[in-house]
Amino acid sequence: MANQAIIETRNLSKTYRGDVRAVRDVSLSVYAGELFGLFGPNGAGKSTIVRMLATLLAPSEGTAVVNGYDVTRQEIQARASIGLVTADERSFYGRLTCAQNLHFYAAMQNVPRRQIAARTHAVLELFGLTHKADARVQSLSTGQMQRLNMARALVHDPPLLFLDEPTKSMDVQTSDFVKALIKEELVGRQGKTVLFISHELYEMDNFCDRVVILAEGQVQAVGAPAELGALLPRRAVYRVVVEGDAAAIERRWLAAPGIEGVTAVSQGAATTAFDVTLADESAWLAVMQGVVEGNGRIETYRRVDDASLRRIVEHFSSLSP
Amino acid sequence: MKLYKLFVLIRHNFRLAFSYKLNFITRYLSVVVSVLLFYFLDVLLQRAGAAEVEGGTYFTFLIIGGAFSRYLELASHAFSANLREEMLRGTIEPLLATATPVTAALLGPASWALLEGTILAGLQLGMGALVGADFSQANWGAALVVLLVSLISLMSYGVFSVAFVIVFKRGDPINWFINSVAYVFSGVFFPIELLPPWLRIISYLLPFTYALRALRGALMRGDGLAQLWPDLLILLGFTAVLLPLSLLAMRYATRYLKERGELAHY
Repeated sequence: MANQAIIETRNLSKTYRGDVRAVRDVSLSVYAGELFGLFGPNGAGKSTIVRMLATLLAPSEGTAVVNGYDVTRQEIQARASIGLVTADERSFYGRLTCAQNLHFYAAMQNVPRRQIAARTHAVLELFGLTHKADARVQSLSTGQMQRLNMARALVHDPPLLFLDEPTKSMDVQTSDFVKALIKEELVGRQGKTVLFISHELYEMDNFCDRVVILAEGQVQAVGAPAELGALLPRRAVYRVVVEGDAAAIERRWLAAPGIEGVTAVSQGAATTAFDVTLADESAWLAVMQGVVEGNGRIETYRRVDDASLRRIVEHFSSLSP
Repeated sequence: MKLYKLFVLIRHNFRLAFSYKLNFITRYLSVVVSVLLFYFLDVLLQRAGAAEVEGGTYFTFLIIGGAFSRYLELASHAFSANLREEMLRGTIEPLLATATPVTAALLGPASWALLEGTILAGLQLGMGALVGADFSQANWGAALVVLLVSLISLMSYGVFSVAFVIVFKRGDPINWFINSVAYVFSGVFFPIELLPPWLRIISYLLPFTYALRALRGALMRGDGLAQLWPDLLILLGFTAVLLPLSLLAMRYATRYLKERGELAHY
């Protein structure tokens, strides 16, 4: 990954009338060739940030530079650098064909006249829509329209792609196809930078290089999913199912250093399930010792607080004011 | 804006208009209907012994007024209606996200309507001539100059109406103004001399009055620029005021749009 920032925001803020602060002091650097995730719950400010970067919305405060162009002073150059996939896949001229729609947007994006047909063909092929070139857009399925939406964003071959929930209306197979296309072809082979917006965690995990977590318009954390996991407290919670004298085992655990809490969650005929909270992983020895001293036996155990993005989000959101 | 982009905008909006074939055809049929209407109105008035109007027949007078009304319709309705359609369809945001200047993106959807207005006006004059409108004296060159000067003034109203749509979404006062004031007071269907003097003041405050008077002068009496310059000068005066004001309104509207981001909502 190159070290040059292709998107740079400094204290970017947006306040709507009525003092509604949608985005607050967002400072971010997205590097060329990066697959960058913008994650947060509904109302976190993701789309507002994207609309400001795409010059559709004026920032109230702060600055944003896209591909070297200031979004307020060099709007047209900034827009020419961006392919925007909006969340509304129906935003086409339904009575015109796919090719006619793409020709129109290519011309509006200043694609040279002689290259328009070739670019249209290339993006239709990339998204498996060549056979639909002469079909009216209104005859496409929702998933096909969303693929056309992505084709439109790429028709002028921009270095930057903003994808606002691009797989929202796709079935699992199409979604996997498109995500592979984004990661392997667009980012991996063509070197494009992708800003991927979603409020679905599973979309980001094992997909984005880095993720920014937003809540209430503010940046909560930025980093690779694994890095963000490392920022979490080292505490761990295990579900431990034991055989034997459950009360004796629980007493020993509660007295052991490194074990912060024990909660019985269910009781079977011969077994009892506990959630055991450890100060860190090294306290696992005390768990084993408690079971042995209580004349019991561990039947099963598993970690119940995973290090997924869900945990990361919950953690960082709870820190915000 | 590049010439090719303008061509693409016109072609694109023609394709859209043509995709609604019945609506497309009825617009051209309405020219035939209005020519017939004007013809029989003229027959009726001649039977009542009506005299000539502005140096020609009432039929010719009406045909020119009718042709000009195509441009009035354009100024009052076409710009704002095309933008509204883009908003309702959800296509305005992707268009604004392209490397096209915002003002061009907002006014562009009316590009075909502007050309079609000219085609319909030409068709009306041609059909009128076939049925008996008298253009034997016409000074077409002078008429073209009048039309071009008038168009700039008329387009200012169109730009105003787009600014209103951006800010207020509905309730376009330009549409109301042209439909209820301009048609009555600018002499589209009858000479303004028929109005009482105190009402005629309104006519003198409208650029359309001068545009129509000059156009009829050129087409009915064959007046050249030497005779038409007073009206042309007044028209240019109106344009000098209206054009910067409309562009200012548009600038305010686009700033409003960017601050609130409401264009996608209707």
